Amino acid sequence: MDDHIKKLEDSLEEFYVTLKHLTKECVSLQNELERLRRENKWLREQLPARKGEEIVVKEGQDALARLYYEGFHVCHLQYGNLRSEGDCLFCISLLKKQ
Amino acid sequence: MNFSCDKEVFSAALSMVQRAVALKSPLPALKGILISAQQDKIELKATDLEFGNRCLVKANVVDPGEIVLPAKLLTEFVRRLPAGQVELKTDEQQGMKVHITSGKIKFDITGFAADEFPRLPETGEDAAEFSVSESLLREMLMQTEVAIARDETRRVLTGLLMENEDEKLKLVSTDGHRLAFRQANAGIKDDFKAIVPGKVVQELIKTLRDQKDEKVNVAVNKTDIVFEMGGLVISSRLVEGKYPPYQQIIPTEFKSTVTLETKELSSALDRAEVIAREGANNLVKLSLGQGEMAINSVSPDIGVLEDSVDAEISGEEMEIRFNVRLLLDCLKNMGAEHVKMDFTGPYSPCLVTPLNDHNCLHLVLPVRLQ
Repeated sequence: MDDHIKKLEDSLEEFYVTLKHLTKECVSLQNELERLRRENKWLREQLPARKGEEIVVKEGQDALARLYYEGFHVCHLQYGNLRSEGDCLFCISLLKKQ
Repeated sequence: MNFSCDKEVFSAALSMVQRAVALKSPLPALKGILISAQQDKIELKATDLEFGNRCLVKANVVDPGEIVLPAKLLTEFVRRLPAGQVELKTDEQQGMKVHITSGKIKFDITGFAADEFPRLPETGEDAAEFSVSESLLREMLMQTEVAIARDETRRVLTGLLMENEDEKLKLVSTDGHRLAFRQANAGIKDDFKAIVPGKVVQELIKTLRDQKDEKVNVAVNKTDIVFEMGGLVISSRLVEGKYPPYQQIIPTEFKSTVTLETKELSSALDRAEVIAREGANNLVKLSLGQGEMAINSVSPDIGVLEDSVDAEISGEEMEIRFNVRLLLDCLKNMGAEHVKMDFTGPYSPCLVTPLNDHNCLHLVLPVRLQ
């Protein structure tokens, strides 16, 4: 009888740990989904504005933006350095200006 | 050298000066305080070669002279002496030995020759000079110190930019994620641009008193800066390099503007921080709605906090996430009843200013969820 209760307790404990892990995963996925939704919206908003631009400018701009979103600084202060602490005021200002 | 001085005055001067002592320096003289007795006063000096403190104290000087004494030992010993006069006298036989006497208490301490002590940073005759009230400079420093970078990889950002434009004194600091700016009319005629090390800014905040009538005299050249207030002088080498053009990153067009009561917003953010600090990035979500700004903070392991603050809102509705600490830092010393937040987008910087005041601004970047 005691063995059964012990097994049940262990299973419940295991179940609780899995549930906690899944909850965390779920929150993380929800955040990711929201980020992607926003990014998608932002990118769609940018599309009409880019229609009249010259191809050369667009390529340069895209290259800088790509570099930035890959995690590198594109500002004069730290160009090419890894962005280890999130967004950078100088990079964002530069990308917006272009 | 032989002089006597009031214990309280001597102890206070030692405590103030010893903050510039280089505790980890291989040069023994740098771990000491240079004491120079001359006429009716003594001068105390300490430096870590980057910045220095100098203090003048009235004393009864019997025999002029100078010596370097170990800073920590001397400061702690004098602090523990009873009230009254303290006498310092160099030994006639052994020049580097000093007898300290206070009533029945006698203490012998060995020092170093004064010529081993380096010169403090100083400005020459070509320096730009100006005066500003102690309380104003203190307030300006407190409002901008928060954004000075602690990360040594970007050396210029570890200092505070101090410059003049149209006779105004302008202070700027940024760590790349936020920017603090403060300006004030100071009637400055000479042009200058200087990057003052963050350590010196902190030292000034500790030293400056909240007194409008007392003035700080500042002299600055291309390499050094000197602040003189009362009997104390703080001097420092400047951070070398060119400060990035900060004006370019301050936005001028906004999507939404929110006006709130500073105290109410600070209290709400302060509560949200209790939950936010348990999660990643210290995050709070601000939602601009109709007549109120909702503040939401989530920690998966602890719970959810929902709050709102009455606000006047114009422009687009928006949801935006911030590191709550950065917002609290800029509100902390704002000193205005109402604060204006200008939003440029969920991933673009937000401008925080006191309402109807263009002399102070903070720029804070939102957090992008990964």
